Amino acid sequence: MEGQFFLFTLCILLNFGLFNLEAYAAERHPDPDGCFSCHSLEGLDYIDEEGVLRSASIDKQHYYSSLHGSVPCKDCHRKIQNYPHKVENGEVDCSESCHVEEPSQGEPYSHQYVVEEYKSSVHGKGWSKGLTGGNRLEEANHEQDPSCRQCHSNDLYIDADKLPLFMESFDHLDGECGSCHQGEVWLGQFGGHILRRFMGSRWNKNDHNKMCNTCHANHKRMADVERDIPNKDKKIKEKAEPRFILASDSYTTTLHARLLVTDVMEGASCLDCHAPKGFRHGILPDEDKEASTHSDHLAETCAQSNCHAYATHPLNRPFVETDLHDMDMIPSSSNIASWDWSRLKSTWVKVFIILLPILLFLGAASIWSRFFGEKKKGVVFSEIGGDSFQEKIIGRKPKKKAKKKAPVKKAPVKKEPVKKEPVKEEPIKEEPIKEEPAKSVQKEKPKPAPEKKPPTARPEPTSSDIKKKEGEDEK
Amino acid sequence: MKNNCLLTKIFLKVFILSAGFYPFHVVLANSLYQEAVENTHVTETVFKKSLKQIKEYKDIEIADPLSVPPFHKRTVSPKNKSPALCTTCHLSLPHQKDLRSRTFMNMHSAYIACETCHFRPKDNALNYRWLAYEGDNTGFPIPPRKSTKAFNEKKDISAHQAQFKKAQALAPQPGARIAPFFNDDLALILNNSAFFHNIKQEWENGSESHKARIKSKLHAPLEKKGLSCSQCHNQKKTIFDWEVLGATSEQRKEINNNTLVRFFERFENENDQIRIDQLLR
Repeated sequence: MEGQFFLFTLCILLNFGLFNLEAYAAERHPDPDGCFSCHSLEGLDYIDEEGVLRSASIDKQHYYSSLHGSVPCKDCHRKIQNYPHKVENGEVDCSESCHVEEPSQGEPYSHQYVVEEYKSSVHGKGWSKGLTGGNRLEEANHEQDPSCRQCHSNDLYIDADKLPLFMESFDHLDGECGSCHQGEVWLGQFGGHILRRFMGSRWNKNDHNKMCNTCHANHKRMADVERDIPNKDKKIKEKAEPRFILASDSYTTTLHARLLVTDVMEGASCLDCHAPKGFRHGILPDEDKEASTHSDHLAETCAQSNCHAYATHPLNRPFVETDLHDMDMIPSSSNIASWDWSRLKSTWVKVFIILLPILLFLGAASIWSRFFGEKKKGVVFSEIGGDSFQEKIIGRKPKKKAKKKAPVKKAPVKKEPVKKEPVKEEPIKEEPIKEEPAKSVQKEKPKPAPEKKPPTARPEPTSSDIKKKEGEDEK
Repeated sequence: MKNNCLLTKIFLKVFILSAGFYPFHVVLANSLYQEAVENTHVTETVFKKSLKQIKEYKDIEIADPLSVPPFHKRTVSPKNKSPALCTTCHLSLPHQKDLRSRTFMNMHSAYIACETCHFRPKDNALNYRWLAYEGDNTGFPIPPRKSTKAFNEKKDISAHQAQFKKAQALAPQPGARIAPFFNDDLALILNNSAFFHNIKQEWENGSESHKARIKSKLHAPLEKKGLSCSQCHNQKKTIFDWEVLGATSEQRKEINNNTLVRFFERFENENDQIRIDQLLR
């Protein structure tokens, strides 16, 4: 009898325990304070004094399926107790811990470590606390640095496009993993969390770039930025240079970006170089010695994850120093690029500066010799190109000169037979261009020869003849 | 004499038949609100007040969406394309000042005509019906939605899905609003009426004092303070006949025994603040 009573009690207790377990799982809903009694209503909108459309209607279904879906509203909006809410009571501090437990260690979950890294970064002056729905205009108008919410919204826990894969995997988790890891609590607390990790990061490299470009591709916004540049022990405020303003544009011309655009994930996103470690919020200015993009750390950054493993070899230093925000790659038609004095640091400019004196000298010499140099009558002398080039550079001097000189010497011999021709073949006189120089001399000479000038004298060519001759010389 | 009677009968038949093809406000001579406006005598005090308001008025320019996005996803309300006379001057979300009620009042303006709350003539008993504010039948009264049992009794959904199940809309068509009628005639003015066009022209061409007179006249028949919650959400007596408006028994129960209404009724003074944990009691 006692045994029966014991068994009965045990069954009752077990049932009670199981019931409670299920009840615990079922009770994990995020609205213990009844906030959705109002906030789930559609159309709770108004237009404020600044003309901004405000909405207090929150998509309940989206919230329950979101990253913060199991976080009660008051874990973040801690001071809200009354209605109407005072704006300051709704302020959120992202570094506070909440009542959700971190799955592996059972500690209250917090973004504290991420916030600390963010605070020490180049964006660290942005808001991580004091965030409310009502002060977005204030942030947009007055803040240079992005707040947490500028980049992070309360997105879905599983993206809609990944949901079928998640569901499929969850079945597997229930069947296969469930043989050892039994119980609804395990599935609820760990299953989804682990699966989500297995399915890969919620943000891929293109998502990173898209996030950065929200601000960095906005030239107007970037032009207003005042950068804090570390200089020895203090920081100097510096107005953004075109190199900074156009950082997104110059990046898109690199192979890093072009690979990602074509969905080849071997490319490198902004964060891969600027925040490769930690929680990936610790972006620092290039001038900071701790920055992953500082010249002291560049090799290590390039070599990370075996992207460019050879980069750490000292002989590959020039590779590491390749400018990945090369202003020369940006079209000069860009308004901002055109007034960038830093473009003078370009290698092209340096080469041009070296060559400029030589070019000037050659040009001046050419002009001087044209006007003041010794002229050879009857010979069109090419200063730089044409025959001169062949003679002086290539070395065909003897051959060419022989050809040129020969007809000049023979010309007087052929005077007599040509004398008779001018009368018969007048129209041919105007076509000396196609003939070789020697022949043209032969044909032109007879014209003036019989009357006034001596046989060696050359007739003055017309302007068209000069042009044609110059053309021949160039050929 | 006989011929005269016959002609009168024919004329009346043609008039009655043709009435079915014309918009209500065209068939009617004047709506009750229009009559009230036209019969208004503007006093000097009211005129001066209106003039002062017109002189001090600053137009609010609707800002572009903010560059800082909201953290939580908001439900997007359909854009208000109301042909209501009031929203020609007032914003499409007209309630701005009262911190406690503005959002709830604007929510109601999506399915309640402005005149329903703000036009309450003492001498005439109004009744309320659905009025089309969008579509081909804009300006016409429309029959209430027939309750679909299948929708309400759908039980093949999980408890998780059930919490997101949207209640069946009471409005018989998108944009429809509950509007006042007097003796089956529409008691308000829409912005496609001749009366409205005349006023608009006068307003655009008029001086400040003329505008002040128009403003005074238009606002004279209206109550500044709208209906209180309990005048519509009440188990005993409301100004609406919810059954006529097509509410199912479930919807009537939800409307008349509403948690939020009970919460709002706890406010006694304008500056009261009430703990939200009382919301769930």
